[in-house]
Amino acid sequence: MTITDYERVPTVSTDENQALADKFKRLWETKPGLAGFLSTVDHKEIGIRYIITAFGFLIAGGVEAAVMRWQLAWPGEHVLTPEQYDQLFSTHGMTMIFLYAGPILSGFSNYLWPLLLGARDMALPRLNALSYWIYLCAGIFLYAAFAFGFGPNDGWFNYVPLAARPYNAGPNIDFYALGMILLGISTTVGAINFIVTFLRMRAPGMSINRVPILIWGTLTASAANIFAIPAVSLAFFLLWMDRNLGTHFFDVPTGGSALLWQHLFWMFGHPWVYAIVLPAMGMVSDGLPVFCRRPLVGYTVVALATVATMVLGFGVWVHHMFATGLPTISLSFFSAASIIITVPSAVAIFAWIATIWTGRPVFTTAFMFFTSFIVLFTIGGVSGVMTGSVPVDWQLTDTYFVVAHLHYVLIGINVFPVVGATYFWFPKFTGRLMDERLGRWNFWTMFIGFNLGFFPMHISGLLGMPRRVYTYADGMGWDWLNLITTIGSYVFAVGVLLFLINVWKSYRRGAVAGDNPWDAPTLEWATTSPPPPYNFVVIPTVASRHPLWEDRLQQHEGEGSHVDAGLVLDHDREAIGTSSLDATPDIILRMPHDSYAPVILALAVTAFFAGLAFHAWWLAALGALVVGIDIIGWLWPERKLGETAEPAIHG
Amino acid sequence: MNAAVATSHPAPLRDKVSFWTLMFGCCAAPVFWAGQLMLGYWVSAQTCYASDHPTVTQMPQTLHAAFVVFDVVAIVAALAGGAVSLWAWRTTREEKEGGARHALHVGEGRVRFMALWGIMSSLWFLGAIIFNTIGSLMVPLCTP
Repeated sequence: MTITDYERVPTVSTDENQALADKFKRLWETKPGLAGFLSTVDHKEIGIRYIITAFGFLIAGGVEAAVMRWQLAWPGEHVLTPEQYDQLFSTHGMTMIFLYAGPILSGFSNYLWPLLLGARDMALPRLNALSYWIYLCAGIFLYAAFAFGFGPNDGWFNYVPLAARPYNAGPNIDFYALGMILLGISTTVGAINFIVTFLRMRAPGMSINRVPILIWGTLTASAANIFAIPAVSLAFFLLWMDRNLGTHFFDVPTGGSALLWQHLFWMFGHPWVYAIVLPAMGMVSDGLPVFCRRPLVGYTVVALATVATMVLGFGVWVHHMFATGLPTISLSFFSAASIIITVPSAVAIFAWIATIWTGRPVFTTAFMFFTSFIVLFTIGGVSGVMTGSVPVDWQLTDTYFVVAHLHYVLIGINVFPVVGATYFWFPKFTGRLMDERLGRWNFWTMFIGFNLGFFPMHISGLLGMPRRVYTYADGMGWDWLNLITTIGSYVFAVGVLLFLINVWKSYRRGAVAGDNPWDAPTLEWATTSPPPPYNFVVIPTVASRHPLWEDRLQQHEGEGSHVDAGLVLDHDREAIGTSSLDATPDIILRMPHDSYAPVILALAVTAFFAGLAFHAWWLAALGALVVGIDIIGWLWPERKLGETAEPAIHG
Repeated sequence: MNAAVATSHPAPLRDKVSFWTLMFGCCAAPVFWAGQLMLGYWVSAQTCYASDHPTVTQMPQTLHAAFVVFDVVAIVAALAGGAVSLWAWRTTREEKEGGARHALHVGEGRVRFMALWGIMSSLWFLGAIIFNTIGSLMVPLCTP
């Protein structure tokens, strides 16, 4: 490829002809079989893998929860020993928060982003594949340890000094620490990919004020992860060194600080909470209006609320530490931030309610999941404000009230929107609609079960039931509340099972969906269901936020959007790079073909961490060597990618 | 862009207000709120916990003065961000059809969209800054 090719003026096609489609299919399609499975960089394949893997971890975490709830259903139960219970609740938290809640959103965003943006792939496809493979390896690494009895046993927040070697002599914490650092690499590279994709891969005309809210949600979550992940990775690395190399970062008698752990962990932990809900809120902001047959009310405010929530989310971490004895005046600063963060959240809630109120709602299963999310978000938000108040928090900290709050937040604002989003985008993923009748059963079972199971936890907490107890004595006044909680959680589990059955049944025999079964307005519905490997034959040109609703909304001036005519880019795997603010086309990007480099790199990095965990230094050294070789190969300039530009003048 | 796929530019008034002016409007209040929070936490923790146990019960005069400086600077910055954004909004409110209501709900006109963001961001974070200011003026320093 020469500079002339690289900077050529791309041709424009005014129709989607079959010859072009065939050519693109040859260029973009992943090879069949194991070779294609291991080497694909297609964002849709990667997205689906993320989703399936994350749901797999959701099931694992759910089974752990079911065993714990059986243990807690009656006082004095001994299904589990205290040590087993410690591992089970820690692994449950780790699984749901790190291996399900974040990755499931990465899966949806990976699949949907290029389609929503009118692009052919993510900006960095190989990095995308690397992100998934490392996530999978980290999950297997952590669960392999759990299977051998070495799962985390100090809560998902892993407080020192309990996590320090003198109090926790087994290898459990070492596996957890290294697994979390490994997972952090996946999250970081994924976040970088989302940010670059937002800045460079939007369709021509899709200025920043025309992107769907899901894009804003994932973008802000990704930006937050770039700042937050280093804090927790550092914390786990320092802890690993304390435990294995004799350093004293968290060892108080030798001048370390136990509070340092809490600061580093929660500097990550609270932004992470927003990172695992903001993309889900974006799904609702984009999906709900489709079923209300009108655009989202207050798009500009909701988009800003998404960003503002994330910014404020970096100033609230100390509300997890109100009971640690920090200066009163500094508690007041973080309490203020914890309370004022309700403003952008409330703005979004009012926007969703106004959208329903002023729209013509169609009561599909997806709509019901989206609206129930608003209810659950409000309940979880209100209990969050309560714990954001210092004196109230002092009463509630370490009680079941906090467990109720975090489950309302994480299930209410993550699981419910994700299930709703599955009903909404399943037709795009598979070409088939999900069963609505089974969907109603699925919704009501989950909604009733969830509230039956988790609302009583507020009362258990107010009655003084502490968190993280493996059993409790008879006559404390918590017996019937715990029994109801267990019954509710089992009903909720049946609801999740109905969802999985519906996915399987609909995938096999669901009604054929067509390209745009919901008559939705955004670009992913402009292509076939499921989309072809290249997404769009021609790159769309966008003139409004609702390219497919323009005729009815009249929200554009002059020429409207073009989804059937646009740039062709057919010299190889090519995409258009656009400017960051206004998405004006400025470069043709050569996209990489399928590659084994990501999977090899992920395996090598995992081998490195396994070497550290087992103190097998030869394995760590071998892993590091392969990592180095793989990265050199990955970055070696490729002529096909225009990385070895040749002079434009020949002969 | 080829005439077959031509559309109107999303930011026709982009030359009226510079990108950095818009960014100042959007970011001044959040950045100074973050600064106020971090500095306030840092100096109060240093003063209160010079050793393992609280050593100070009364707020020293210098600390009080430091809080006042942080608070005033943050409030002025948030107001400046809001004023710049308001000016940008007034300059570009006609960037696309419809007035403020249209810009709030639809968001068309990228420059005025960012100007609106600046106004709202300044207001929200001014609220957070004032909350912190009330805390620094009224809450005891180290009392458990």
